[in-house]
Amino acid sequence: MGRARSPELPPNLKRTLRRARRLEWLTVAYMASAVVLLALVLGSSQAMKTAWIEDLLGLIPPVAFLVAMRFNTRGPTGRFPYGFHRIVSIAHLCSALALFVMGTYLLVESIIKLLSAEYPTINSIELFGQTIWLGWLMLPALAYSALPSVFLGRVKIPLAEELHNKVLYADAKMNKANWLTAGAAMVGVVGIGFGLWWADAAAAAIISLDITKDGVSNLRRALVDLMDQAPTTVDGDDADPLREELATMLQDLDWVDDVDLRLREEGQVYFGEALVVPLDETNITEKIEAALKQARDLDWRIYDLALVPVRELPKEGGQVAEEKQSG
Amino acid sequence: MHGYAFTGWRDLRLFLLALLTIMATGCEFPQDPRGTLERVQDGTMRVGIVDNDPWAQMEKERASGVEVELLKDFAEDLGAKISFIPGTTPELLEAARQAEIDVLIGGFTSTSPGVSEGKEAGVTGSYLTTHSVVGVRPGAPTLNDLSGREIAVERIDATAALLKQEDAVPVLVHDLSTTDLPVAAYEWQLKEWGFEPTSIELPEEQHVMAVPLGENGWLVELERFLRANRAEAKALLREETS
Repeated sequence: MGRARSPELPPNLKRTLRRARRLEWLTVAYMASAVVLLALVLGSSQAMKTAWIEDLLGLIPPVAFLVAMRFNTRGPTGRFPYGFHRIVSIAHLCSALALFVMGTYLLVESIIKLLSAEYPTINSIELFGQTIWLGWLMLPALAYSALPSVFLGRVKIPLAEELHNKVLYADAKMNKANWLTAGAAMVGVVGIGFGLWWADAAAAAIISLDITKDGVSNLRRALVDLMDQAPTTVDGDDADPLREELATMLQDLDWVDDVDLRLREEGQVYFGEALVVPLDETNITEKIEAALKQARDLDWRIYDLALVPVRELPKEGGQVAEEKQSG
Repeated sequence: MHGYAFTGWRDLRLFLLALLTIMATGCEFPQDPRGTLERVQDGTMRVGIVDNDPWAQMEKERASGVEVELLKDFAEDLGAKISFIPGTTPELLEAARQAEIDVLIGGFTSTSPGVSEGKEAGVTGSYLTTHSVVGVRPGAPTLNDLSGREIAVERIDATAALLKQEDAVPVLVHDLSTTDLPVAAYEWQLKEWGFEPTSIELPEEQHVMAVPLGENGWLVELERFLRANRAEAKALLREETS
C-alpha cells in the first residue's frame, strides 16, 4: 500500500489563486462600500431594502473563501490526519446557504408585500435648491452596487474552474444575484415613478426565483460533496471525467488485472483509494510506487491516493474485503 | 457559460439609456398610484386634523393653526378647494390608508408615535425645526441643570416628554404666562411673558405632515411647497404663539 502526496497547487495555479484572492478582497471592499452607500439613500422601497440585505449576505462567500484559503493547505496534524482541505467544502456550504437564504428571503418578502398591497413611499430631498425625488438618486446608487458585480462575477468563473474551487463559483453566482437584484430594484423604482406601486415587489419576486434556484443547486452540491459524492465539475452535477481517466490509467497497467477506484472531493482536491488485483506480484512495491507517480502526474487534483493490492475486489455494495498487506 | 454576464452587461446598458430618457423627459415624475395630485388640482384637498394647538385645531367647523394656514396657501397654489376632517390620530391614519384624506396634520414631528414610522402613512421631510428654551422669572435663581426640577407646561405633549427625558418634572399649569415656575417655551414667548431665557435648550423638533402611502407625486409636490414656505411657516408659528 502506498500514497501519493503533492503540494495542493502546481506553481501556475498558485498565481491563479493569488488573483482569486485579490478579487475576493476587492469584492469584500466594494460590497462593504455598497452597504454603506445604500444605507445612506435607503428609502422604504422593497427592492431597495432587499438589495441592501443582499449586499450584506453577499459578503459571506468572499469572506468564506478568504478564510478557507488561509487554512486549507495546512499540513495534517495528529488530530486532523487528513489535513484541512475540506474547509473549502464547508465554505462552499456557507456560501450556498447565503445564496439560498437571500433568494428565499427576497421571494417571501416580496410576495408578502404584493399580497398586503403595500404602497412604497419615497420622499424627495433638497439638493442645490432643487427638490429631487429620492427615487432618482437611488438609481445611480443601485447602478454602483450592480456594475462591479457584473465584472467580478464574470472573471471569477474561469478562475473557479481552474482552481476547482466551488466557493469561488458560488461567489460568482452571488455576484450575479447581486446585479440582478440591483437591476430589479432599479426597474422597481422606475415603476414606482410611473405610479405602479407593485412594480418594485414584482420585479424582486421574479429575480428571487433565479437566485433561489442558484442557491438550491449550490446547497445540494455542497451537501453531496460533504457526503463524499464522487467528484463533479465545478459548475454542475456532471461527474468529473478525471475519475474515469484515472481508473482507465490504472486498469491499463500491465500488472493490473482489475481495479476498484473510489474518489471523493476534499475542497479543491481529491482523496481516495484504489483496490487493485495484481496479475503479477513480483516487485509489487516498486510497481505501486510507479503507478502512484503516474497518477499524480495525471492531474494536480489527485492529491491523496492510497493504492492497495488485494486478492479479489469486494462485492458491489459490500464491505471492503480483508486487506492484503504488502510492500 | 460566461455568456450570461455579457448579455447582462448589454441589457444593463440599454436599461440605463432608457432610464436617462425617462429622467430627461420626466418632469411630472413621480406619479401617484391613486392619482391624488391630479384629483386635488381640479377639486378638493381633504385635510385630516388632529387637535394640537398651535399647529392645527377645529373649533365650530373653523380650522386654524400654523399647518392649516400653510395648507390653505397650498390649496390656493393648486387651485383647489379645501375641506377639513377632524379626528384622532388612529382614526385619521386609517382614513389615510383608505386614501379618504389627502393630508394629515396635527403638529406631528419626526418622532411622533404612529406617524413618524411611515408604516400607516407617508411622512414628509421636516418643513420646520423648533426648539423650546427653559426660562425663569427675573430674580429667580437661574437653572443649569434640569434634573429633578419642576418645569411648568400647559399640556402633557411632546415638550413634556422632552422635559422628562432630561429628568425634569413637568407640572401642569393653567396658564404659562402667569406661572412663577420655570417654563419651557419658544424664545419669543419667554420674552413676551417676561421670563429670562436660560442656557438650557430642549432638543430640536422636526415638524412633518403625513400623506397616504405611495402617493409619491403628491408627497413630492407637498414637500416642494413646504420647502418654499419655510419662512412663512416660521412667521405663522410666531403669530399663533404670541
